[in-house]
Amino acid sequence: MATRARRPVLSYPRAVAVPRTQSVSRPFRFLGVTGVFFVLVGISLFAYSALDRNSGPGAAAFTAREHVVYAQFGLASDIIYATAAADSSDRQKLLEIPHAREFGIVPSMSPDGRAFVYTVLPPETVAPAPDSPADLWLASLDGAGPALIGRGFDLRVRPVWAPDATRVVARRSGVVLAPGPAPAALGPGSAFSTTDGPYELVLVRLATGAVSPLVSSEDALFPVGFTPDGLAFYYTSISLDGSDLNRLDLASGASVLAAHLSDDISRDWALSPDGGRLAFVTLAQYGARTSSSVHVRDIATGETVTSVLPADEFGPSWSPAGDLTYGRLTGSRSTTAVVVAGGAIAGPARGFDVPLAWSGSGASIAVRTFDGLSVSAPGRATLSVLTPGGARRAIASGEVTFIGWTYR
Amino acid sequence: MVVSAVLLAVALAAARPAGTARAECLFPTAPTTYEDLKDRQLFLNTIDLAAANMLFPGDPYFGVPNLELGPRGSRQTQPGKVPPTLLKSIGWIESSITQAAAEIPFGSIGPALVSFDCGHGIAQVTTGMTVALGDGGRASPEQALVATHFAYNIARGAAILADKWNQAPELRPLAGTDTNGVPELLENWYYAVWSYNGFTGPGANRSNHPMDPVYGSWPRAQYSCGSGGDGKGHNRGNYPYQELVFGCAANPPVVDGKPLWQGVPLSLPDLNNKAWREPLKLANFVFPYLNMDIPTPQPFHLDPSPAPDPKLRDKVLGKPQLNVSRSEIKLGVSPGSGSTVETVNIDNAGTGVLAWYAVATEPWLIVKPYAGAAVGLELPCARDVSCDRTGKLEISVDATKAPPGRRTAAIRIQVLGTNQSYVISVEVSQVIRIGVPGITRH
Repeated sequence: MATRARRPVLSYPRAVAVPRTQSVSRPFRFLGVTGVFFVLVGISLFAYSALDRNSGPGAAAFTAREHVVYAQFGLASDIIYATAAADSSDRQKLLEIPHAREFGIVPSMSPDGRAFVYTVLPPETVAPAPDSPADLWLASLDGAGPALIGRGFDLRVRPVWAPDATRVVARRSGVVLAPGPAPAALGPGSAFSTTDGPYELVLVRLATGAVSPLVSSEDALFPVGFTPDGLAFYYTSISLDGSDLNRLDLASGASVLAAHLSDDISRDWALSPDGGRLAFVTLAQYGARTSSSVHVRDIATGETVTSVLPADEFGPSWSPAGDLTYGRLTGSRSTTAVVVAGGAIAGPARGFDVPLAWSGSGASIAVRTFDGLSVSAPGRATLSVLTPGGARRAIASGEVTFIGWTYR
Repeated sequence: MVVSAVLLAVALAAARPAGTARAECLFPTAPTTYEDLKDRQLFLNTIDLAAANMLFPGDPYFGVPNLELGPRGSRQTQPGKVPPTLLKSIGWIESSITQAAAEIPFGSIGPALVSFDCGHGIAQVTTGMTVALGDGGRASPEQALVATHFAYNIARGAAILADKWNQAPELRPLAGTDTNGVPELLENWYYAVWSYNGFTGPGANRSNHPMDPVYGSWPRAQYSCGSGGDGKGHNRGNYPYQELVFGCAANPPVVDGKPLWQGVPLSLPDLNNKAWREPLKLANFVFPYLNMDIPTPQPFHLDPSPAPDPKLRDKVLGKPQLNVSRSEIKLGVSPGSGSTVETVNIDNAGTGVLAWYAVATEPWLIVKPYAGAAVGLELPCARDVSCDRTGKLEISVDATKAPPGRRTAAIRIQVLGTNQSYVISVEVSQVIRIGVPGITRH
């Protein structure tokens, strides 16, 4: 097992709070707060300096029950594996999912880690394209075969689970009701045509396949997550005006603007476990250089914390305790890290890490590790797990899609 | 929950139509076409010819138009050519460079490939292929050629790509502001390739904006059409269209151990650099995209493909020679129960693909199918594969529309792309049923 040095405890670089009325796409408006800026830079440089001093084995251990579930991409089918974080030789093939040639599944793990849903283009899809209508399936990790839930969904938009693991929100687009009876089990709107239509987020009940439209818009809609009580749902809408976070009350169906996130495209939205904060990524300008930057929006106060470092940041992810994690790359391997609460986990010997998800216990985090040195040439990717103490284990290489954590 | 879902799956399986749903496009059933051997040499040669505008120069539908270049406000034109490597890469991304439906084996003849959104054949030509432009709600001869003949399909794809290039700067942004926007630099085709699939961004059903969050992971490895073990990405759902094409151009598909073309390591716009990132900001994605012009992505590349041998054109197109099995047919029609059906065979006594197109003189004559391909003997078929080179035309009468009494009509069979045609005389008479099953009197 390759391990890395335990990192000294560092302060997570808290950044500038953006007033509610300001857009985070203009973070430099607040760089006039020079004191805070230099504090931030100083903290980060300290962190990077510390990262250079790898010395000795990582102390933290992977938890035996925690397994990484992932899809190994194949041209005609994806193979689903579960691998123990504590022992990557302990790998179990769970199932094989056929798909349209060269279009892999887009999976989403249930909150309890016992099943996952996925969108997939059926193998018989003629001239498959990213916008070909996709099927939605449910796969249990208990050995039962996957079950088709519905049809006509957007392949590339990862469904989002409700906390009770009985429903998901998925996206459809270009969907219009076809005349005539639709399969009753699919509910209204299950039949589809290729006519252009609006984006639509729908609530899908997994036991019945019943589909309930939630919101429809000409703007691009993306599901983000449920509130912990499951009574409301967050989604983003992207238009030429930028990216907005919206809150939908499931009982009333009313949708309200929760935050204007950016005047530009945002992505990789991650809702904190308590539902109070949203982390996301935008591209930000630093002189002539553009970097992807992680922001955190406090939904209740409207404050946004945003990095002011000219570094590329990726993959915001929340620990079970509600601490933010993200990957950082400043152009050389000595300054790559996964930034965690109170410090950072050193990057790989070459390349950089993009966090994916913490395990349920918070003992380890799954990351995609690239062996390249830049965003434009990230190189080969490996699915790995890290511990906060710096231990690192490769889980799978090649073209792999992380699905989630399960517990066996 | 899972048990219920399994039950649901059973119900869905019963309810689900065979295959993937597809809109009604031009043809009630896809017309027949020829599929190349697995090495695709014929199709690749055809792409070289089409890219150099050596197939149908000057043809308004199948020829490559002159290309515009230069800065906004002082555009010039030069003879139309498109980079063959890009056209091959587009062909692979669109159809794996196949003209026939996926179930049709290499080296055989069968229904044309038609996608759910009416993309036809190798180049998945959608533009102009969703609405029938011929008489009587039928596909026009040009549309039929796109579906039935690989060379016309590829040529149309090349023409469309050139049209996309020429949409700048009035309708699309320019790529190559620092290089005079010359089409010889492959990277200057960034926006044209994007447009081939749809110049769309967030807010469109098929967004190709490189920063669109619909492309799941960021950053992403370069796309590759090469072998799965090359360490690059092969999952098409993770890439906007132009990155698929550029990645495939750089990492060509390998068939039986041989790459289909010489890879060219094309550069994408560097999103970490203000020069490319600023124009690609969402706020600039507003028609007519005046603020989206970009310099040439660096380093730029030229297409290494050699100029095709002009003699290839004769080999690709051949010399089709129409041979029709019957000059006259007789049909019986019973107003209450339909008509008899006669079959006419269409053969190609020459070479190449003969794209035929049948037109009846009367609207009540049913000609099914009305377009297809008859394939010359010199085009290879694979072993152990059904390869019916003969076109088959079924002729009947729409009994609900045919006027009573004896009628004469005709069916004209054209060989598209040539001056050849043939007329079949049709005689229609009333059929009187006399009550004994199986016996009719004319």
